[in-house]
Amino acid sequence: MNAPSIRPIRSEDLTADGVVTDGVIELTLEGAAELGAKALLDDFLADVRAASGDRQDVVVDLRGLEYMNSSSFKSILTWIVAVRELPEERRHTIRFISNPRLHWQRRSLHSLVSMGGDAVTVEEREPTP
Amino acid sequence: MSEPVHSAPVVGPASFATSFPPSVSLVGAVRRFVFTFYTRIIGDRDQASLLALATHELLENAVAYCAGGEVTVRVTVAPAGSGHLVRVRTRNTASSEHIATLERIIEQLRATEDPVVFFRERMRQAIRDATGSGLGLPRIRAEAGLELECSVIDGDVELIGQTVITSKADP
Repeated sequence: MNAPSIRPIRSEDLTADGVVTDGVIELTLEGAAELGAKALLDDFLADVRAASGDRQDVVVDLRGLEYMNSSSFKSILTWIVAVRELPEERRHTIRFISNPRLHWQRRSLHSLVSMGGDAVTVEEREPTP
Repeated sequence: MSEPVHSAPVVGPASFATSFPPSVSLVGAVRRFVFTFYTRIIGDRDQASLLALATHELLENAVAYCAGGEVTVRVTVAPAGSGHLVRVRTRNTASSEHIATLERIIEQLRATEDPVVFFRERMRQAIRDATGSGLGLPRIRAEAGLELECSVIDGDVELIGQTVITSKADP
């Protein structure tokens, strides 16, 4: 049976894509998550949860995300806390890939990791030219 | 060949202000501008990134809750010792309920001993709260390090965030 698809986000300021590969879901967010983005992200992450069946590990590439406002931050926060609270046998990992040139990402992801427990990690990686 | 004049460091106070009818798209435009503005004056992209975050959150708050008329943002960067004093000020009309909410959050922020612990508590609350995030001001305090004040002037609400950025070369 095919996994449910992850509908992309295509707005003026934000794009998001999700690809289900062998055992891992790869997400890419680019642009800016500003006012109005939260509802789009909520739907997108609901698709991610459905696609993962709350079992598949997720990698979130944020290197092209110029900014994320606090409403969108809440959307991500709600998702990672939901994953953290899954029964242990169903709990998967979330790995954020951040851009070291966007210093706000280091601070904000540190805040998110503090709420995600062992399920959430962050890796800094230079963006692809 | 000598350095062109326009690339020399800014040694005096620098400021700018802009006003516009509430517009979501202009908040992002201001954030991009102030990131460059802060970088050129302070010379530290990491600090500039956090100051741009604070400016965005203050201005987005002003736009989201503006009850009519224009929103104004004024940014001032002035030398302070070996660093810079950065002040971001927004002004807009707002409902009395929203002003009361701002005053309450800022009072809580001023009373807290650890803004990071306070921010984590607000994150826990935000997950349970279906309306709004309530995270903007605590995030500014915890992640960008700005002290916050709120006052009401001629019926408008004015939010001020400020911090001193010290040079990376300082011990």
